[in-house]
Amino acid sequence: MTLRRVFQAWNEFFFTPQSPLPVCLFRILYGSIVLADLILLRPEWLKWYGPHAMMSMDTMHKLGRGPNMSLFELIPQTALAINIFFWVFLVCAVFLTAGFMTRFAAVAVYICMGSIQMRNGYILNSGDTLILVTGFFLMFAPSGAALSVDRWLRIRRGHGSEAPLFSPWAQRMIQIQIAVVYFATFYWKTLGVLWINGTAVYYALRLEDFQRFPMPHLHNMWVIRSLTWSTLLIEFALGVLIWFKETRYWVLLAGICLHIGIEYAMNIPLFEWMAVACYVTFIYPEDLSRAGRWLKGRFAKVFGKWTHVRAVAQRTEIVPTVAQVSDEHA
Amino acid sequence: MKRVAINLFLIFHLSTILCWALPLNTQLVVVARPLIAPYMTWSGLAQGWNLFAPNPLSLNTRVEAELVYRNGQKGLWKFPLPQNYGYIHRYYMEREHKFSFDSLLNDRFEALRPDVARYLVKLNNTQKDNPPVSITLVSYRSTIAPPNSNLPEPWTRKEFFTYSVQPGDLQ
Repeated sequence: MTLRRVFQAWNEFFFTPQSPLPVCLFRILYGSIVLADLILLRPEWLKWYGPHAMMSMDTMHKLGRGPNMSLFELIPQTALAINIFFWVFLVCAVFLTAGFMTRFAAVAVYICMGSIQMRNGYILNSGDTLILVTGFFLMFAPSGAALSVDRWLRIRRGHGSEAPLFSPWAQRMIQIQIAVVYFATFYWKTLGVLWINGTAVYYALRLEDFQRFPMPHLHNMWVIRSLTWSTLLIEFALGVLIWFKETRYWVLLAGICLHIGIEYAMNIPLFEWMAVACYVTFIYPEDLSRAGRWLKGRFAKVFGKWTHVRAVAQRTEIVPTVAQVSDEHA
Repeated sequence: MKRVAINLFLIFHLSTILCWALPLNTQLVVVARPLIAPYMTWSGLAQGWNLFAPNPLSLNTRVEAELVYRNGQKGLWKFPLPQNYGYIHRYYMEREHKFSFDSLLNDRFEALRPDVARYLVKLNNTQKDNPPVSITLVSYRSTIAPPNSNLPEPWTRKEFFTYSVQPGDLQ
């Protein structure tokens, strides 16, 4: 492979214009997950981030690893100010989900999310990290170009009805980030004895603070080994085989099964949802368009039937009224 | 010009993410990590994907706070256990578990302990003229026995932090 071919492949991968549909759909899912996160945080918002929080700002500075972009360094340390911060964050997340002032909303959500994570990094799980690292690249993506209020407004102003094509470099970075997550976790696990001897899932499922719904057959070694080794296999596939067109959708399907299994058995809020949401960026735009058209067709069919029923109902209401008027005239 | 800037951005971020997230210990990575650390921390891109790796923990943990009040009375405050809550409730209590079972017990973050002690003292200052005067954080640990071994899983108790309440702590 010559250097020229490398440059060409790089340019094709990052800069060949494509439909922004996958990253726009990802924006909607991402925004919804951020909203869910905020709703889950709300009851204990002041406990974790308030002026009398379980971890003070002084301790945060003591344990911190240097300067950070947290807005908590700037906003007054009062319950009122920190509650206002919550509502501003929530509004920005709603804007991002709806695709209204999308670029601004994406930047604001990233900064707000980074701020709370840096204010108290001792309550975070992998889901939080995934939200932040993918949110970073979402800021640079044309995520408001479709499926958004921004696009609807553009069409209303007469700026064309076709969604333009964009260089997908930000979407590619989200994809790479996801593949790195899986490959890194696969690699880490191969260094552990329990993953290799096939008993790791038994220990993970016995950890009380992670337990969710009851898990049957926990002492059946065949089941435990199958779950342990299939986890390794799927994580490897999601890091490596996901890049090949022939295997991509099978790998994504296996990933969805893995995350449904973890979501059932383990209590790691939003991580599974976030991971599966990221899979959308791997769907080819043409397949997404096709799925959209199919869904539209189905909706039109159902909606058409419904409007037909409504129209018939309205007509049956109108007819007697007309007849009544005719009777009166007669 | 814009394309050059984007390419530099991509190369920089690809290198930093790979260098930070993958458990590689080549000389280049070892040298590069401290150099990129300030940027990764500042930007929030610092990341580690070693959940349940290299091995999952084989230890269950519980944390409690033992309080002594001015009149000598003793009180007990337990960090919530997920198994005591419904399936939905435990979903949003996960952060509490993470904080108490993971961070608070980790000696690297022992600076958290006085803050937590003060927070719990305030929370438990409910009796008139009888405030808490000291608080001890206690951990209980039980090693998970290997599958089908039928070995007992006893709990061992350890006091890991004691705090004497200061006059200003209750305000």
